[in-house]
Amino acid sequence: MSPQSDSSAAQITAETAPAEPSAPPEAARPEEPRFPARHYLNDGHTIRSWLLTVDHKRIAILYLVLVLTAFLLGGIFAMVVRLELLTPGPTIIDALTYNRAFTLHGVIMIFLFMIPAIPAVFGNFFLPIMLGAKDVAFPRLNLLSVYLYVAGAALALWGMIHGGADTGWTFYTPYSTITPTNVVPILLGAFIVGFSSILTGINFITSIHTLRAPGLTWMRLPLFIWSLYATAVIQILATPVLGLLLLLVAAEHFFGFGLFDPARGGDPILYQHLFWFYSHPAVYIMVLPAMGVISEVVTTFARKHIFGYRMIAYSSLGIAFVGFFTWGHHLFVSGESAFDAGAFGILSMFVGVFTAIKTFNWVGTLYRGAITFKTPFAYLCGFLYFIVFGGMTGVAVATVSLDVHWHDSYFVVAHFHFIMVGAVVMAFLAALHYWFPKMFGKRYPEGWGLVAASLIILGFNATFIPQFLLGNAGMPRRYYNYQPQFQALHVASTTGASLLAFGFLLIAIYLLLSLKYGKPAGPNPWGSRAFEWTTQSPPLTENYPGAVTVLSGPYAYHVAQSPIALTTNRPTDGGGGTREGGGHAA
Amino acid sequence: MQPEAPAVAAAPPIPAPAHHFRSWAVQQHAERMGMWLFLATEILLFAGLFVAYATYRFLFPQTFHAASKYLNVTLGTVNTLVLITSSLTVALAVHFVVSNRSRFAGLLLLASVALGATFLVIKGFEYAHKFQEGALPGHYYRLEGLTLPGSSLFFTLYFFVTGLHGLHVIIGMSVLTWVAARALRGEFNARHYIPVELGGLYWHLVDLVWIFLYPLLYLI
Amino acid sequence: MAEQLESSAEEIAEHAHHSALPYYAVWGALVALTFTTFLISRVNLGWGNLPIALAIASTKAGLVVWFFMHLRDARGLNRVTFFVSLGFFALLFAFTILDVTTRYPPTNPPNGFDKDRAAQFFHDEGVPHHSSE
Repeated sequence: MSPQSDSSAAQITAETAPAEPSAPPEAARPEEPRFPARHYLNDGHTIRSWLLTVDHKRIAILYLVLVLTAFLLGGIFAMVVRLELLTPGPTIIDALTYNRAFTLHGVIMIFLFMIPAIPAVFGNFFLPIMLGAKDVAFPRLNLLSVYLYVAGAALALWGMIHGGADTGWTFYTPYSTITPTNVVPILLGAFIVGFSSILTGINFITSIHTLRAPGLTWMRLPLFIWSLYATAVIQILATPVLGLLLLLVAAEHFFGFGLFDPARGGDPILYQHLFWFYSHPAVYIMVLPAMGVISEVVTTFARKHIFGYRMIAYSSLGIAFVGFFTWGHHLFVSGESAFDAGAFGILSMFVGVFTAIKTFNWVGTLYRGAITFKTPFAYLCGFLYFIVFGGMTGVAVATVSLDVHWHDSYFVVAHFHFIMVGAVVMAFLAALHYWFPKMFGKRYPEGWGLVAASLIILGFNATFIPQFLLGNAGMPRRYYNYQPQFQALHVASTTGASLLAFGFLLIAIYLLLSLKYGKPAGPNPWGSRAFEWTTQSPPLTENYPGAVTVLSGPYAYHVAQSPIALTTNRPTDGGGGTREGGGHAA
Repeated sequence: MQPEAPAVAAAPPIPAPAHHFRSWAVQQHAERMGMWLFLATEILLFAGLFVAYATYRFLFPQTFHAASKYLNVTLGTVNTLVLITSSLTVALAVHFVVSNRSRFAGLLLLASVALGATFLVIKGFEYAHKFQEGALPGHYYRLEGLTLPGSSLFFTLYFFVTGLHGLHVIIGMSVLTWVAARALRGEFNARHYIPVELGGLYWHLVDLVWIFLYPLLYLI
Repeated sequence: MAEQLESSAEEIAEHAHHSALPYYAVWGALVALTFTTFLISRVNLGWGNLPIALAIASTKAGLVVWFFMHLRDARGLNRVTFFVSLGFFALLFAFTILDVTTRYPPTNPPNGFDKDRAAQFFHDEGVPHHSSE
C-alpha cells in the first residue's frame, strides 16, 4: 500500500485545493519520506499570521511555547525549593522567599502548565483532525483563549516580580486576606486564565457534538476525544466557582470586606469548600487528557485494538462525574463536620475504581500485542507504574483516619506529585514524542529519547519516593526549617530533582535540534491506524484535502483498509472520485 | 417592513456557513449549544455566592432578618418588575425577528436596554442610600442601628452579589445594544436570527439571577 | 440529522408565526407571582417563609427558562446542560450546608447556638434572644 498517493492528483477537481503529496509514487521504499511542500507551518510567514491565526494547529503551537515557558519557570522555582531544603535552616534563601518560592511553583505549575497543557496543546491540535473537521467550532474564541492565557499569566507574573505571594497556591483564608505580600495580581491573573480554560471547554464540547465527519459515530471516536469531552465538562462546571472565589479573596484583601474573617462572623472553612469544589475536579482536568493520550499511545505501540473501548470511554465520564463528589477530603482536618468527613471519605474511594478500570484495560491491550519499544512507549511504562502507586496512595490519604496523620505532610506532597508529574507529565512527554513527527514533520533521535526517558523516570523515583518516607516520618509540607533527622531523605530528593531537571534539559535540546535537523517523518512513522496518521506531516492548514468519511474506528489493526476515506467532492453533490487516504506505511 | 408572510413559503435565502461547518443549520445549532454551555458557567459563577449566603443566613438568622429591613422593598419589587418586563421585550424581539420584522425587533431590544438602564439607576439610588447610612461591607461598616454579630456579612454579600449581577446587566446591555443596532439595519430574518437569540439568552439569565436575589435579599 | 436541525429552526419559526400571545401570558404570570411572593412575605409563617419564597422564585424562573429561553423547543443537549448545571449547583450547596449544619455547634461563629459565648465575644449590650433555626 503506497503512502499518501499523488497518482490520484489527476482525479482532483477544481473544488478542492491541490493535494500536496508527501511522497512521489516511487517512494514505496519507506526510508525516504519527503517533507511536504505546503502545510500549516508555512501557510503565512508573517508575525501577524501567527498572532492573529484562527488555525487550531497554530494556536496549539502558540500554547506549546507558552506552557513550556511556564514549565521552565515553575521548574526553576522547584529547584530553588529543593536546594533550600538541602539543609535544615537557611541554605540559600530566607524564610519569606522560600514561602514565595513554593507558592509560585504551585501557582505556575498548576494554573499555567498542568491545567492547559495537554488539552490546549494536543487537544487543540488534534481534536479537529480526529473528528475529520477543518477546525474547532469557534476558532476566534480559540484565539481569544490564548490571549486570555497570556493576559492572566502576564498579570500573575507581574505580581510575582513585585513581591509575589507567600500563601501557598491554595490561598487559604484568613492568611491570604491579611498577608502583606502582593497576592492580588496573582489571584486576578489566575481568574483570567480560568476564562481561557472555560472557553476551551465550550469549544471542545460543541466541536465534538457538531463537527464529527460522516461515519464518525460516538463509539468510533478516538479515546483521546472522549477524555477531552470529559475534561471539558469539568472545565465548564468547576472553573467558574474558583473564578468567583478568587475575586472574593482579592476584594477581601484589597478592600477588607471580611467575608471569611472570623472576627466578623466569617467562616474560613467556607473558603475551603468553594476552593476545593474546583480544585479537586481540577486534578481530573489534568489527568483525564493524560489518560486519553495513553490510550492512543498504547494502541499504536502494541499495534492492537484497545481492550474494552466502551469501559474506557465511560470511565472517563465517570471520573469527571464522581470527581465532583469528593472535594471535602481536603478538609478532613480543617474543621468540617464529622458527617461531611465521613461522606467525602467514602465517596473519594469510588473515584479510584474508574482509574483501575482504565489501567486494567491498558494492560489488557498490551497483552498479546506486537510491541515496539519506542520513546512514547517508555513514557507509557513510566505512566502505568506511577499512576498505580500515585492512585493507591490517593486512596490511602482518602481514608480519614490515616489522613489525620498524613495531612499537610510530605506524604501528600509525594502522592500528588506522583500523579501530576509521574502520570501527567509522563503522558505529556509521551504525547510530545508520539505526535512530534505529525506536528512538525520531523523525527527526533530515538536513542536520545530513550536515554532521556530513563533519566526522567529514574530521577522521578529518586525525587519523590524519599518524600513518601519523609511524610510518613512526620516531615510537614511547606516548612522552611526541619529537624536534622530528615536531612538525608531531603538530600536524596534534591539529587533526584537535579536528575529530573537534567532529563528535561536533554529533551529540550534534542527536540529543538530535531526541529531543524530531524529527518522528514512522513505521514505515518509509527504505523498507527488512528485517524490523524492519514494526513500528511505536518498537516495542511485545512487538515484534509477533501471531505472526510470515516469507515472504521481508530484502532482497527485487524482490517486492511484505511479508516478514513477522502472524497474530492462533497458527498451530497454525488460526483467526484473517492480515494483512500494515506494508509499506514508498509 | 415585510408583512407577516408565512415564514416557510417566502423564506429568505439560507446564508453560507463558515468553512468548517457542514451547513448553516449545523452552525446555528453549534452557536446555540455554545451559548447554553456558557450559561451553565454563569450559573455556577453565581452559585458560590448563593452558597455563601445560605451559610451565613443559617449561622446568623436574626441578623439577616434585621439587616434585610434596611433594604428598600419597594425599590426591589419595582426592579424585579422592570427586569421581568425587559425579559418580555427581549423574548418578543426574538419572536419578531423570526417573523422577518427585524427593525421592530430592534426597537424592542432598545426598550430592553432602556429597562436595564432603569434597573441600574434604581440600584444606584439604593447604593447611594447605603453609603449614606454606612451599611457597607467589611471594615467600612458603620451602621449604628445594627450591631448584631454578622451584620457586616449581610451587606458584604449584598454588595457583592448585586454588584456582580449589575456587572452582568451592563454586559447584557452592551450586547443587546450591539444586536439592536444590527437589527435596526434590517440585518436579521427568519433564517438569520441567532445573534438576537443568543443575546436574549444572556439577558434572560440576568433576569433569572435577580428572580432569586429578590426574595433572598429583600423578603427575609 | 440535517433534517432534524432544519426542523428545529423551522419550529421556532412556526411557533413565532402563530402569535406573540404566549409571551404576554407568561409576563402576566411573572408579574402576578412577584406580587404574590411580596404579599406572602408580609405574613409571618416562621420557617415556612423561605421554602415558599424559593418555590415561587423557582416557578418564575421555570417560566422564564421554559418559554422565554425556549428550553421547551431546545435540543436534548441544551436541556441536559441546563439541568446538569443546576444539579452541580445543588451538589456544592448540599455538602457545604451539611457541613455547617452538622458541625459541633461551638465551632461555629457566634450567634445562633450559644448565647453566652457570643456575649463574651461581642461587647455589645444585649445579644438578642433567638428562636432555633
